[in-house]
Amino acid sequence: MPLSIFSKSPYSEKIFKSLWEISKVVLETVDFEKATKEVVNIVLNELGELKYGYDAIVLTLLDTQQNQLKRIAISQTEVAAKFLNSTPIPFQEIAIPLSAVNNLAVKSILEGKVQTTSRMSEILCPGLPLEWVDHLQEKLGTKTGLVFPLSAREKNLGALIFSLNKGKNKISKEEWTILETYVGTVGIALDNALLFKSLNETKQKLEVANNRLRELDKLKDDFVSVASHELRTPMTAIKSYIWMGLNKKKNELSPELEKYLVRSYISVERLINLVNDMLNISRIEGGRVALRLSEVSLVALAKEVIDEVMPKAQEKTIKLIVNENSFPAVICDKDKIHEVYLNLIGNALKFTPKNGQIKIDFKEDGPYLETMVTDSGVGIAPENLAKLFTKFGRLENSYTAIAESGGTGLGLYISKSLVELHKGKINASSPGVGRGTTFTFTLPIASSQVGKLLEKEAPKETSETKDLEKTNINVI
Amino acid sequence: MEPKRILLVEDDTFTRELYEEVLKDAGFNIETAVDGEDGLSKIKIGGFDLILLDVMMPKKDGLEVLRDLKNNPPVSQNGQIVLLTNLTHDPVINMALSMGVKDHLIKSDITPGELVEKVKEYLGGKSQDKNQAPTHPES
Repeated sequence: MPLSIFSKSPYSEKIFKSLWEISKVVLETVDFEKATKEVVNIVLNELGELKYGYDAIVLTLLDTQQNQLKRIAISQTEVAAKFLNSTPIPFQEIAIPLSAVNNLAVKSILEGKVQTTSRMSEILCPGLPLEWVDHLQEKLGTKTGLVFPLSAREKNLGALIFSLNKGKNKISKEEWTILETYVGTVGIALDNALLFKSLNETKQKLEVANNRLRELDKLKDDFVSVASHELRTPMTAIKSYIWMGLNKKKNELSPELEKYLVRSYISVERLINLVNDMLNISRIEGGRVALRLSEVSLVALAKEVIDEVMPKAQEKTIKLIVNENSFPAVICDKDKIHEVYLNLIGNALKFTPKNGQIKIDFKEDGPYLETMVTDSGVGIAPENLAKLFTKFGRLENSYTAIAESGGTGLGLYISKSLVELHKGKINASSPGVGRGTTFTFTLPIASSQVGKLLEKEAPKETSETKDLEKTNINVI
Repeated sequence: MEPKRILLVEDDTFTRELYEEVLKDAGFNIETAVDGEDGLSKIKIGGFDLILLDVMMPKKDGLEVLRDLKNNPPVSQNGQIVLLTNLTHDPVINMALSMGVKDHLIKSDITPGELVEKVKEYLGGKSQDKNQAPTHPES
C-alpha cells in the first residue's frame, strides 16, 4: 500500500516517516498489551503531527466468546484523559454487544467499511449511557467520529474509533488514504500480537503437558526397571536350576527329559532377553540413553565381536571373514555399536545353514563409513524387507528359526534406533529367498562434519540416563 | 591345600542355595548370609578369600554394607569383594567400584558353570596371587 502512495502523489516525507513508525511497532512488538497501546498512541501522535485535528483514538477488539466489542486501548491525549476521568463505567468494562446492529462500531465490522457520524453516541452506545455521551461530546467539542473496521488475513479483529474536532467534510482525500493505510497497519500489528499471545499460551500449555509426559515416562522407566529386576530373580533361578539339571545330572537324564529341559532353558533365556530388550526400548524411546562417544576402529570392533561369537560359529562350521584393510575411524559409542554388531552377526549366524559364510566389509561413503554384514543364508523376499526393522516384525518363514533360537523380534528395531542415534542409517537387501542377505549400516567418520555435529548434538550422560542391558545371542 | 573360603551374601533363597551348591561342588568352602546385616557381621569377623555381595537386599543393601566396611574395616582381612547384581545400572556399579569392589557379575547373564569359572579366576587358581585382575564378564 505505501508503494502506491509513493508513486502516485506528492505525499510528504512526513507521512512516510509516520507510516514507518507504525510499521516499526508492527514489526517489533509481539507483546499484546504493548502493541495495542503503542499502536494507538503512535497513530495518534502522527496524526497529531500532521495537525489534522484528531482528539482521541480508541482501539476495540472483538470478543467472540462473549459476542461483544471491548475497549482495549485509548490514546494518551487530553481529550482521552477527560473521557477516562469522567466515564461512569471503567474503560476496560465498556462493551458493545454485537447484537446492537445500529451501533456504528458493530456496523463497520458487519459491513466491512468505515462509518462516519457527527454524534458520538452512535458509536459509544449502548456501551455507555446516552445522555452522558451527548453531554461529554458537547463539553469536549468533538465534531466527528469515524469508525474503521480492523481486519487482517480476512479475519475481523475489531474496530478503530477516531474522534475529531473538525467536521467530516474537512477530511481531505489524502487524509482518508492515510487513515486507511494506518488502519491497515494497525490491523496487522494487532494480528501479530494476537498470534503471539496465542502462541505463548499454547507454548505454555505444551510445556506443562510435556513436563507431565516426562514425569510419566520417568515413572514408567522406573517401573519398568524395577519390574525387570523383579522379573529377573525368578528367571535367573529357573535358568540356573535347569542348567544344573542339564549339566550336573546329565547322566541321569533320559533323552526325552533332556529335550524338555533344553526347551525350557531356551525359553527362559528368550524371556530374559525379551525383558532386556523391552527395558532397552523403553530407555531409547524415552530419550534416556546417552552416547559415550570416542574414535573407534570398526574393523577392530568387528574382530572383537567375531571372537565372542566364534564358538557359536564353529558349532555350525560357519566361516567369519572381516575385511582387515585400513579404514578411517568413526565417532561412536563403542558399547552401543558392539550391540549392533552382535545383533547383525547373531542374526546372520541364525539364518545361515551349516558350512556357510558371513563376511564383514567396509566402504567409505562421503562423511560416513559403511559396514556391510553379508551372509550366505536363507535370504529375504523383497516384500518382507520393510518389516524387518519394526518391533516384532518377523518374517513368516522365520518363526521356526526364531522359536528355536531364542530371538526376541526386537533386535533390529533396537539396532536401527541405536544407529540413528548416531546420525547413521541402516538397511537390508537381499537378492532373494535362498540367496543370502546383506545388512548395511553407516556411522560418521571421526573427522567429518557429521562426526563433529554428532559430538555436539549427541545426548549426554545425566543422572537420568541409563545404560543398555546386554542381550545374549543364541544360535541353533 | 586348604580350600578357599567364600562368603555369599544373597537374600533370595533359591539363588543363594543354588550358588552354594555349585560352589561347594567345585571344592570351595562356602558360608552364606541372608541379608545385609547378617552379611556385614560375618564380613567383620573376616578371613574370607572372596566375598560375593548381592546389591538388592533387605535390612541393608549391598552399597550400605560397603559403606559400613569403609568406615569400619574388619579386624581380620578379607580378599576381594565381587558384586552380584541383576541391574545393569552403572551408577550403582560405579559407586561400588569406587568403594573397593573389584568386579561385578550379572546373575541373569551367567550360568552356574560360568559363575564357578569367574570365582576360580578371582581366586587366582592354585597360586597365592590374590591380586590377579579380574576380567570384565562377557555378555
